[in-house]
Amino acid sequence: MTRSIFTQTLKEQRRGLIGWSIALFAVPMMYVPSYESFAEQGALDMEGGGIYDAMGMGDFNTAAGYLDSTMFSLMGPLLLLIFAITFGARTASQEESGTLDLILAQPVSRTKVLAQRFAALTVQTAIVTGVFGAAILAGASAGNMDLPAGNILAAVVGTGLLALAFGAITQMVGALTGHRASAIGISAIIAVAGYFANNLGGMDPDTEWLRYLSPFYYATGDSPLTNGWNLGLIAVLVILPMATLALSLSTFNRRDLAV
Amino acid sequence: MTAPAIRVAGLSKNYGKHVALTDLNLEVQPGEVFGFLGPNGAGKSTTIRILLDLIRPTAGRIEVLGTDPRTGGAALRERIGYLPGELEIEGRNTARELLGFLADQRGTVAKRRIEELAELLDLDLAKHVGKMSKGNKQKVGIIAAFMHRPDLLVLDEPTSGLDPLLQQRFLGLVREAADNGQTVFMSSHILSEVQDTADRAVIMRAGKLLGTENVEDLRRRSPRSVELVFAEPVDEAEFAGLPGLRDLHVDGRTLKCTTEGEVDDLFKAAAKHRIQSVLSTEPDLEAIFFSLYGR
Ligand SMILES: Nc1ncnc2c1ncn2[C@@H]1O[C@H](COP(=O)(O)OP(=O)(O)OP(=O)(O)O)[C@@H](O)[C@H]1O
Ligand SMILES: [Mg+2]
Repeated sequence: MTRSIFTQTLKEQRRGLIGWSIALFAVPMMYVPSYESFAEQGALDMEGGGIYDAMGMGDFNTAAGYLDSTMFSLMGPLLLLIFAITFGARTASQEESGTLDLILAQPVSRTKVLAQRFAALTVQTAIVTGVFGAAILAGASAGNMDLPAGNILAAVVGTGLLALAFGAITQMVGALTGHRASAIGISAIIAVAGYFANNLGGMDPDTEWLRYLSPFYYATGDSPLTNGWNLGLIAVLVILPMATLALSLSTFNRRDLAV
Repeated sequence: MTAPAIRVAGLSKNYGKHVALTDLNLEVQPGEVFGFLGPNGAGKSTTIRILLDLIRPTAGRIEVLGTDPRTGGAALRERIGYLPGELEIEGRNTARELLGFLADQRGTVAKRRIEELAELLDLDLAKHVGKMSKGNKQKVGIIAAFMHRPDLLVLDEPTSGLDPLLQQRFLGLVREAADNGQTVFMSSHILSEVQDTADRAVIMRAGKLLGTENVEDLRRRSPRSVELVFAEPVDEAEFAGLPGLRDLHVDGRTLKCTTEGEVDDLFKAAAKHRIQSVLSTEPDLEAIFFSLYGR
């Protein structure tokens, strides 16, 4: 078989991908199936309010609220974003180490390297998101959650696309700076800022505009677990990584590498 | 009349405010083995990475195999084999996997070629590249540069990290490439490894070219430190007036000096005594610069 940058990237990162898949299967399995027993014990009858709202965890008492608070407000996006950001830094870290010189000595263009890396990242994100989604669906069924599978999928897909967007942002900062630490650091800052912009913006009509600046809003802003698919918002999360990739390619082609 | 393999005219490169290259002019003919000499920080790697379009010049025109590397892109790199300076390879790949992957990007590497080169260079292809010693990584890089028999080999300090035996094997590869009509452009800060193979060489320092030299001339003119040990004590006065001799120092049976050009006079004078041993060491480039170009 002829190896491409795409297949080689998947191969070289397969161990990491397996590790992340295990984590993203295990975490929903720890929380979601317990819904029924928690609900029966009345353990979920707690008052939400201030701090929970700020963390996007409104209410634990309904199935949708429980699943949203445990999986989609913080834990799920956090894990998927860390995954996508570290994997998205691949090219920058190779540039820093000097390995990229060797790859680009071959008849492959910079565009091809970056585009195939992005394709690999997309596949990898799809895999871990798929595992995450499967675990939640299984957990929801085990915990007797009365939620339409379509709604759960909508939330999972939104979160996966959010992760992809941050992977793409990492790749872009890497393409711009050539430094792994900047790529990861700046994306992490954008992620934290976006997280708070979305949650705090949702608490007060005066600052509601803040939410629309945050990528997080387009993933779960319309409560997909309750309202199902919102294709308008999803479309933004499809376009965002594409636009980011286009920007990455144009800057990467113009720059001195590894200086 | 074919186009030069490399033509560089008025090349300058600044890293921010730092000037790395000033007005470099250079021509390498097809089929030539060309040495690119200079001490650390001279600008060799900078020039080479511009030839490969890894970095872009601040000013100047560059043609590699008749094409501007900026626009030549992947098609141009099909015809080039490049060994990066300070080669770093990371990852869990074995050398076989990595080289196979690189070869796949070309699709023009003969089937047994990688194994043959690995045998020649004494490299274990089953080892993981990330865990290899510097010298073994260098071998992987050399194989990657030579495997597709490119028209032009651009090698940045190719022998660094190789032990003397392997340096010889490597120079054999260079000669074989030259016999095939391939062009070789190699940088070094050691004159001797260039003088064994190269037809011509340039010397650069601090981003400037000091001159194009016929390597034979360079070798003849470069100073050399000589140490002679005689069977009995000798008199310094016997050697003092000899032409081309500097830094003469006699201590009992041992004579130390620096010679420039021919050593005929020194040896004729020395031959009056019984000579026990001779040690002649090549000067480093700095010493050559000093003697050729002054300060
Ligand atoms: N990324 C960079 N940023 C700033 N200055 C740089 C950078 N890379 C190289 N330089 C400077 O440019 C000059 C030329 O460096 P270069 O690496 O081309 O030298 P060299 O001849 O290859 O040296 P060596 O024999 O040590 O490999 C040096 O003064 C170096 O400090
Ligand atoms: Mg160098």
